[in-house]
Amino acid sequence: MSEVVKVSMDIRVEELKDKSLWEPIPESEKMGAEALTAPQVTFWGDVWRRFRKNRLAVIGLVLLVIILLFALVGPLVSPYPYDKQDYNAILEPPNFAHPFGTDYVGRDLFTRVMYGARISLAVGFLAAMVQLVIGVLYGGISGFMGGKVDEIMMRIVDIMYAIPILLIVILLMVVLGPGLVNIFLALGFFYWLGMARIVRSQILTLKEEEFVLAARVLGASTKRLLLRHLIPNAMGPVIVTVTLNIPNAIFTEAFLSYIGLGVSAPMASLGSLASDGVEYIRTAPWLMLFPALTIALIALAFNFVGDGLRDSLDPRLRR
Amino acid sequence: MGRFIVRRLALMVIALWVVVTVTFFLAHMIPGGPFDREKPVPEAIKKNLEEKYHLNEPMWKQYILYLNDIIHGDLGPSFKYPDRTVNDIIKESFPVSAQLGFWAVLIATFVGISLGSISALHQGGLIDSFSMFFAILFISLPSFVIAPIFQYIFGVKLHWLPVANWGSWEHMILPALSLALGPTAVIARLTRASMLEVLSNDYVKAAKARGLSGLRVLIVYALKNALIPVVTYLFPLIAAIFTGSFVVEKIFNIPGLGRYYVTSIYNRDYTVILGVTVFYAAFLILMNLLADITYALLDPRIRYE
Repeated sequence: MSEVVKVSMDIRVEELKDKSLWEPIPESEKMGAEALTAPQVTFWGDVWRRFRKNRLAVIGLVLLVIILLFALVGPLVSPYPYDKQDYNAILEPPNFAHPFGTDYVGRDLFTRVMYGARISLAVGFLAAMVQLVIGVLYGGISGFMGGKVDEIMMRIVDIMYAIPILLIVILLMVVLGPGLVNIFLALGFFYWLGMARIVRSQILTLKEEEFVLAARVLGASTKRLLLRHLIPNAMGPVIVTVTLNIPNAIFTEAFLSYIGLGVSAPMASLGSLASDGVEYIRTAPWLMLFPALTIALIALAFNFVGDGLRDSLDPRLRR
Repeated sequence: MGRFIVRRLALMVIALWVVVTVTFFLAHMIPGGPFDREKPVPEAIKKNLEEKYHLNEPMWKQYILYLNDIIHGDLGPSFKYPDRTVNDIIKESFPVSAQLGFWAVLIATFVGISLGSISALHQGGLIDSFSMFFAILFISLPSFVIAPIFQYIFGVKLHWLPVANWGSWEHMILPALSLALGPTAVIARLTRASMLEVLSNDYVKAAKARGLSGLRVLIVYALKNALIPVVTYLFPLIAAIFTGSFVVEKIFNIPGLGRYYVTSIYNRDYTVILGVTVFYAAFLILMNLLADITYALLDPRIRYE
């Protein structure tokens, strides 16, 4: 042992003999020290704090709430039923009685757009559910089991993924016939594929982490490992993907309704409303404009929120 | 690498077979026969027709015949217009769609890459916020919304360009732009994100430190690597533009394959729907394959398992 170290150790021992060091800290000093520690912030609290600072994301969230109110509460308070024809008010431009104008049989477009937005949101909700339930579980199980099971499950996804979804959905709609339930079936059948892939790759990385090993050593069951440790930790990318995929599902429904495979008349979806409006684009442009704007606003809201969520869930990605 | 491509090819063949099989059996689920019209066809003629199209054979034999036809590239007749086959329709109208698609892809890649690069260079600046705001806006507008709006503004209101139809280059501008706008926004975002990543690399900093101009660093050093995700998006982009053309061709009354497809859906011309679906599916599956292969070729970090 060198001389220098020996000396410093001697000093240390001297220090420890100092009685005052062993006295309890006065109460006042304790309070001051405690006040300096920051309140504990949970992960989601932190996410919310970052989300709130993102102006576009907050605008998106507000927009989403307004759209929700418009679609869910609007039809309840609207004075017109969506299918009531009024031959005294045909093709009226936007005015006080009809804020979005009326269509070629005098139906109130404002009310019809509300119902259309309802359908769009329902489709978005369904797409989110399909991804969250089927996609997350399928990908989770595949990634967790590994080996042969993973191989087979992923080959099935690969093959289904290679199939152009839109074409098969169109075909299914041609065979099943138009209608909202059939759209739900056709979309639900395919919408979980991308999510299954994302969750699987998340689980594959998480599986190797030490906290999972620790849980396993402590005797956690497969179900507990999956539901309590793996899936919650994969939730960030899952939520972002769900939010950003919702506009796609909404577009698909609108597209199907647009080419006449969606909901049947007199019910209206934003797609079929826009499609009907195209014929009147010279004489009554509002018929096309308002449904189109509504659908764009819905997509915009989800995209803003999704982008904001991505930035706030993973600040490393933020640029 | 060879094994990877073989695996992908096998996957593609299986996917195609699934599509063909699904289409075949879905077609047989459609209620009513193809010759059931409002005015019934005489029994003898119906019998002859069914014989001609092998509809009197058992299901499995029809399936084999159908597979055989498809392998030989025969997509079948149109039951609504008996003098035309699906192959005729595709031969006639696909070049139109391809021409339109080509210009849309060109616009989208050129404008998208330029906007993305400029935004990345001026990160956080006015140009950046401005173009990224418009990017997210255009991603939120489906082509069936953009197309009528363009039609209304530039055709009906301003009279700058023809409202619809096909013929001269002027007819192409609005539909090509309607198709390109969404993909342009996607490419701009992709380019910006990957450009920012590349620009923070040491070799770019070294190039800057050696005193090279910003533009030279961007074009010679950064762009090549930053474009990898963009190039791999190119094939899905072509696929997206072709599906987008279903509606855009319908709206602008362009005699392309997309319009025929949508019209055959309106008319419930089942054989044309099936034939064109198989054709589109083959096309899109091929695009997926090309995307996978270019990705593997360009990015050596991809493992070919």
